[in-house]
Amino acid sequence: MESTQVVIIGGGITGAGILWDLSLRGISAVLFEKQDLANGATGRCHGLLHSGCRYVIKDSDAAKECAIESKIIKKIAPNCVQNTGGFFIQCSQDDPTFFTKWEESCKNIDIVSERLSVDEVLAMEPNLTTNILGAFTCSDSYVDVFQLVKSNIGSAVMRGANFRSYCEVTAINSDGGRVRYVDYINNLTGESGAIACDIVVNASGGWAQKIAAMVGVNVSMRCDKGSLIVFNHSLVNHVINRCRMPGDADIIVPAGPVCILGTSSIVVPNPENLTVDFNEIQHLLNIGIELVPKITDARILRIFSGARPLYTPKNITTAAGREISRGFALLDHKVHDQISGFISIVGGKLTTYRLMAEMTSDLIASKLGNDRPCMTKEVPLRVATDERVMKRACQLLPIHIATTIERRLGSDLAHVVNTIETKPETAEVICECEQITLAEIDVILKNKTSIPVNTISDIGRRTRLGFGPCQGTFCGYKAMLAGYKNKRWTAKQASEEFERFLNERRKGQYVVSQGKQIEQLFLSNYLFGMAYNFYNQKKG
Amino acid sequence: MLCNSINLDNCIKCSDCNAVCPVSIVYPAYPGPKNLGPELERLRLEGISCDTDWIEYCLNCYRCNLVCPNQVDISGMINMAKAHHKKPLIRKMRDFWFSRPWLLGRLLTIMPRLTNLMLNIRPVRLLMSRLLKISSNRIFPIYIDSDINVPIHDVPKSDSVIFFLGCSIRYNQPDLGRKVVLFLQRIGIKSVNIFSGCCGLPALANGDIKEARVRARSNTEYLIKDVLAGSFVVAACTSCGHMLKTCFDGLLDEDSDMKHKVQKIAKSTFDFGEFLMSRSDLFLFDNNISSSNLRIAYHAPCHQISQGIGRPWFHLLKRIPNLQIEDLDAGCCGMSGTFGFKEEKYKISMDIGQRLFDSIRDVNPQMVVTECATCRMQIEHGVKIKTIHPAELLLDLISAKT
Repeated sequence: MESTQVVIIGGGITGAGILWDLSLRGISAVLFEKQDLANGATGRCHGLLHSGCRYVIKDSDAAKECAIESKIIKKIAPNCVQNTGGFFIQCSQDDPTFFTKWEESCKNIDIVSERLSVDEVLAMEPNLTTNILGAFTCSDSYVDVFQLVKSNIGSAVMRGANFRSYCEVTAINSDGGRVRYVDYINNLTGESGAIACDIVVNASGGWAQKIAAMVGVNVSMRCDKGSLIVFNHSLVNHVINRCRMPGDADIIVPAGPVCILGTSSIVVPNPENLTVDFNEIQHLLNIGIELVPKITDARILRIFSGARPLYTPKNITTAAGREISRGFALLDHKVHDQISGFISIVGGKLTTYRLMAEMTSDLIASKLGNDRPCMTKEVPLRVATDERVMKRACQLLPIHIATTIERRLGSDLAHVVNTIETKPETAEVICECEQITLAEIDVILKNKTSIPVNTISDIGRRTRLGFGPCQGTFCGYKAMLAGYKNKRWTAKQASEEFERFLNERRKGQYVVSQGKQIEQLFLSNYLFGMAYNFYNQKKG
Repeated sequence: MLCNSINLDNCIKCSDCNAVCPVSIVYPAYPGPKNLGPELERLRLEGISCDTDWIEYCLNCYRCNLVCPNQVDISGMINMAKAHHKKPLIRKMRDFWFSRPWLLGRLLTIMPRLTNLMLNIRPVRLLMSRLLKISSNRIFPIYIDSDINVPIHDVPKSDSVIFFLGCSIRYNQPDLGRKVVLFLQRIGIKSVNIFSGCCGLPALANGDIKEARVRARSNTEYLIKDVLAGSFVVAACTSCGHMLKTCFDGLLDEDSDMKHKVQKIAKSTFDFGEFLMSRSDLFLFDNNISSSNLRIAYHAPCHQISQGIGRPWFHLLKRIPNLQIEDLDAGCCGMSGTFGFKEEKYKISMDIGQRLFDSIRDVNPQMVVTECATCRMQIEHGVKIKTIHPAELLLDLISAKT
């Protein structure tokens, strides 16, 4: 049987962070993810790198953590962060006493915030409502979650760690109060296997309860659904928060070429098959309009929902979604449940993932007798790209494409440049909305980068393919062809793959209630609907 | 801004614009209007640098806007991006002059004889191609220093027209301008004001947005008084007409008052042919037109098509007895104002025009008529055939009768 020191379950940001941390300490680890990376809450959030300001009043500890961690992430993963800065907007209809209370709380924990006059804010954010009293600045930023997870896993894999996507852990076998090995099954090929290990880390977010149950342990989780609306282009230049008690639809994040409004907060039984209904969208839009009136005309690309995995220890089970602390908990089940070698890391936020990984890894290291200190605070997640490679890329490709590939692939840009130099026709742009070239897709499909791709959606998570206005209508088809030509898929597989991809993209668009996206969807239907029999399928 | 950003949301990637773009058709490497317009606009808004030399290759023909089923202001977005485009000093200097035909005209008409002589001798042209990257293959139009000395009757502005001269007629064909004014007076327009400013389109096409704004503003300020009093603006140059009708709106939208003025002017602007067609007494001309045995071909300039007014001159010329006229319908001529004069774009300009040239050779007319001055230059250069403004033909035939 294969063996490793640590098995990590869950390819979200926490699992990825732990894998990276362990690899820096020289501890061998395997990360199992039942789908592709960032499939759970990680990939379904705003991508807001909190400065901590949102939590200053209710949870000053979490706020402090965020303030420190966001600075570290900006330093170690600059390619994943868009340093936009943010505003807390004082809307005239909101409680003015909150503003002063908020400002004081920020001061108390040394978060620097400036006051801006109405004119100053509107000069920087022309789309904002004029019905405001002013704003506070903060250092909120956008972080590309897929890139962040990818960077963590990719760097870890380069140091010898092992990442297995589409591998679901089916059983955790313990013997004598001690975890011995885990069984897994590959969801794509159906192959199963087992791997021996000393420690199993449950970093599966919303699925933590299910995983813990495999060893007969109860980790009480609550899934709190948050739905988000993606707009076609950046309506704002900074992260816009509404300065009031955290509530629905009070954050707008400029997330790369798009911007995202959210969220709602609804308790759901489990993190899978989340659906959004019309009223929920209208509710979000109605509140969002108070902040940015222009969203009435803006094109909605898609809607998506994620489930905040909230840890609910027995004493506070009555609290509602946002009321529960966003702090995290590291559970050593040897202490709590007398199962040695099983650790759960639950709760927490995207911004504090590194800290969560650090504490988890500290515990693992102490159990394994490894005394190397945590290095994730200093070691950059990616080596810098060679200037000469970038120069060559700029000669071959338009500057915006070269820049975005560099941001995504880092030093793997060299592979793309080589591909284009040998085959100039691969400079063709496959995804027009997000400007992704065939060469980049070829490189990814040939698994020259450290994380394998298996589906077209996987390519999307690596590159943003299909994330633009056409939502895969044109690029999906071309990506399918690229996969077929690269012999990744047979003709039948490729066709099925494309159908799955289109369905996935359609899911988020079906509920879009307005505007041009409906036309876009129709265009997609006209092109592929007959071939894939979409008309007779159930919606959603 | 020319393109309001919501407009970019309308694009559903249908590629209709790419299919009609004259540059894309002959030059597959050109990224096309969809890419340079709405696609990159999204990334530009994100803050990614998207500057590319290709942006200069947009002809500003407006065919993309015309064909877009979703009213995306593609050429507006490209024009705005042109303004942020960085180019080498030589091209910058050249485009400075190309952006200002009014200044060029004023300078070159100081000593027109000398200028015309100098501009068309080989060594000077070679020097210009070296120093300013102006193609030595191109022949400059002849500059004429002559005012349009037409007695202007100062009568109540009830039935009055402002004749928007445009730089080309002002400095190269004042004769045509004179004929138009006299004709307008003859058909009963009591007051014809002549406005000889530059419309600003060359500046817009050459990426000098500041100059374009200055022109747009001064034109608006000048025209608005008479327009509000009920005057029409008539332009015999299709590019001027196109600019007045569509582009000011995007250039001067900082306040609602200006926007209102601009829209008012746009509504009151007519192409000369369109204006004649709109006259209820049009049929009265018919008896006054002498017949002609000419066999001519008509080419519709892009900026005439962009105005969405049909083909008034084609129909007006059809009223000439015995005249054989054929509508060429062979796309863009490729000249695009100053585009064809640029050294690096000369070849592509001629390539685009090839379809039109071939079609003219097929038809083999005695002369070609087209409203746009630079289209005429291109056709004369490409096919070596006499090319005139349709008004010249029609007005000569009408005056010959009486």
